Amino acid sequence: MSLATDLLDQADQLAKQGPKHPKQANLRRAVSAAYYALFHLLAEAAARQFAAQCGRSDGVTVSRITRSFAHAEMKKVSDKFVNSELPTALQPSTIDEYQVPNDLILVAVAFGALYQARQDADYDTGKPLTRPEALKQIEKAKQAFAAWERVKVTDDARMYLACFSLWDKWNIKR
Amino acid sequence: MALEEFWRNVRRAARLIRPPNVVADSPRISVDEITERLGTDDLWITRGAVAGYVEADFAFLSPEERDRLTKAVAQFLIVANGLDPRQKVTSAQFAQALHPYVQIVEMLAFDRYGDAEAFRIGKVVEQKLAANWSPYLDHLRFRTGLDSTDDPALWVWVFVTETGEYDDATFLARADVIEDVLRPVAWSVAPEGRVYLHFRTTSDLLDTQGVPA
Repeated sequence: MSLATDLLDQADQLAKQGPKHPKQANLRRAVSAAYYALFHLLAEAAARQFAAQCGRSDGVTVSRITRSFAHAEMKKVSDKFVNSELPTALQPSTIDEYQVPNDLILVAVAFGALYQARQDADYDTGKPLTRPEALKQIEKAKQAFAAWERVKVTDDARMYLACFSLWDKWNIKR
Repeated sequence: MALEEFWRNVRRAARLIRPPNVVADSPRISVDEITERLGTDDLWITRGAVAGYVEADFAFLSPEERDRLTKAVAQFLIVANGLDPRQKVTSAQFAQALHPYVQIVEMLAFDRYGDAEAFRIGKVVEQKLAANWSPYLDHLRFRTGLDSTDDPALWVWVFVTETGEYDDATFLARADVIEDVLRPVAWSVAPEGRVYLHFRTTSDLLDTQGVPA
């Protein structure tokens, strides 16, 4: 089991504790864990991709690269991919518009939604979080995991991962 | 701007000023509650209570709704403009102003639309969904604002019905059915396509009726 899947399991367990009268702390930690599950799934995949480029695939290198990813930057990239926007350097030269594969859109939508949900769960304590709300966020993370499994070998997915670090460098004003 | 101004003025006059982030938990506002909030004093019977209304700003409403709102504003203004500031408002004038004003407040539905832009977007979403309105969808609530990375966004709270055999799996299945139809519609009208959907049940709303605004 990876850290990502362990976190997803933890989210499930927390959300299902005390179904009649769930504690806010459990629901909030559940949503937070669901976000971090998806974050680690994608950040580790991106780190492995960069490490492989350097001929390294050991755990220490992957872990160091994983730490370099910024959450907000990953959310920004996800928002762009949802709208089928690419950095200028990667835009197709033909008049054909780039269309992000549906599974990748599902992953990007889930990342943006869970990022915001995690912010609300951890910091906006004035807004009660309900059990169904938490369950749906966890379900969203599970669907994103499944979609990622299907799309991760595509060039589109590799480009998405690379953009976590390189969006600004590739988004040069023409 | 006029839409925002009208929205703000009605909300202020109707004493429904609440922090914008409580829209998801706001109790449903009934006609009785609106009437009660307006109270027995007559301070709200002024032109300012509907200032900013321009019919053209409400092109997003159905013709019937727009016509009803325009008529209610006009009826209210007849009373407000006819008041003599040196005289007390009579009970007849009060009643004449109350009916259209309650209609206006009811139509703006401050319990379901957190701000003027959310009202505009929400109405458009609801119209586009009308033909495919899921039997599991009780109602929607909307709010606009900046998200945690300061990007403009739309929040939609989806209240799922709990009729029949009901458990977590049923809730998730119903939410998925609604999301499949709702997401593309909301995405098409949300600022920069950024939309956050939150799924709750109708009993979640009942549970939070006592939450102070």
